[in-house]
Amino acid sequence: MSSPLDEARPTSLDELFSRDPHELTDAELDDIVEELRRAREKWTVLDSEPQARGRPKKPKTTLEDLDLSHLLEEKME
Amino acid sequence: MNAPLGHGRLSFSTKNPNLQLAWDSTSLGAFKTCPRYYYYSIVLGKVSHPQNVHLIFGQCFHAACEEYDRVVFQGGTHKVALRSAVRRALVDTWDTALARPWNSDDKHKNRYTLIRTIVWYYCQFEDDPIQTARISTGQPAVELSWRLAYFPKEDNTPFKMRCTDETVTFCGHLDRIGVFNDKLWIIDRKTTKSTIGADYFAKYSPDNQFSAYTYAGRAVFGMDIEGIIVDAAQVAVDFTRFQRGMTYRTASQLEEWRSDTEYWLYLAEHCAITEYWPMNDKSCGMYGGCPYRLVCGKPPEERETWLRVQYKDRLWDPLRVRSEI
Repeated sequence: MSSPLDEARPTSLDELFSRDPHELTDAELDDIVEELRRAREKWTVLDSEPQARGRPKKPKTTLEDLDLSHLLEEKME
Repeated sequence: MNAPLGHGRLSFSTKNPNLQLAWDSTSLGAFKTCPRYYYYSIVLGKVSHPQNVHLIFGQCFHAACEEYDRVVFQGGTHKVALRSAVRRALVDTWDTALARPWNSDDKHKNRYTLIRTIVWYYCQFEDDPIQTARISTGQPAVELSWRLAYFPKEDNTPFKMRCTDETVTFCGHLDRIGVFNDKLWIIDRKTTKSTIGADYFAKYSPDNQFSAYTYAGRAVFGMDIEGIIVDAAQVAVDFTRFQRGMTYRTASQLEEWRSDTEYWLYLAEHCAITEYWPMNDKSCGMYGGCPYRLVCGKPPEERETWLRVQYKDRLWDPLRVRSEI
């Protein structure tokens, strides 16, 4: 049976980082390592995805794409 | 301004307090960059007031890696070694007097990214093929402070400063010597905010620091060093990415570095004798901008005041081992 205190055990990195490291237990240090290891796993997945290396650039609009003919027609009138 | 006297000046001559006798790659590199920069940073020992986060981050990262390497060398598991390394870094970045953590105000290099860099580094290299070498004493070849008995001339006799007839020595500090593919390598770790591109490792040849390290590895430790393996870490806000590269030095390249160093030492001697260190005004914009640009940009008659007000004292002493810094 797991201890109800397990749920209350503080594991957030902010809280652990704010404490005097001389008082951190081995288990708490392992928690820090594990949380950062998980963060790395998430980042590794994101980093390996194609869009992570640079989204495809939107094509530039060129002059040929612009239809200014209506302006020329008005001018000629 | 006169060079300061007293503690920390063991690297300088007692006959001419401006004359450095114990050199390392940092002080030699400073002189090569700009004699005036060398004068302010090394001879006078002036540093800018804002803390150098790169120096702190780098030193803490190196210390944590040393801890990991030692534990593994002594038979500890990866888990135990990493825990020990993280503890070391957390302790090193804790202000005991104020009972609070180090606050760097830098979004790239801070306490969190330091611990993240350590954990991610050893996640990536948990099964590192490089094994730590053992030096003659049986100790692991990590965090090795070294000193040449004397800096040699081509005929291997001691190089001496001509004005005082004093021997010059060369000192330094190696992160680690490792064995890879049955060969010995100097392992060095670098941290940067920049992306590590294809040309990143090319900048390490030629390179003053790595030439000195390779020279020392062979001359001081009697090891046949193959080259240097650089583990570079790009420390970003949300991630740390690592790349490993190699750089080599042939015997002829090392002899060229030794010969060139003689030249630079004689130039430094000339500056010490004439008490004048010229500016290299082509270096002012390098490496993110010289920290003494503020001073050098002022008229000469105002510089002493600006140095006194805007900079604090920090003597760089090559003879001090890293654990004392």
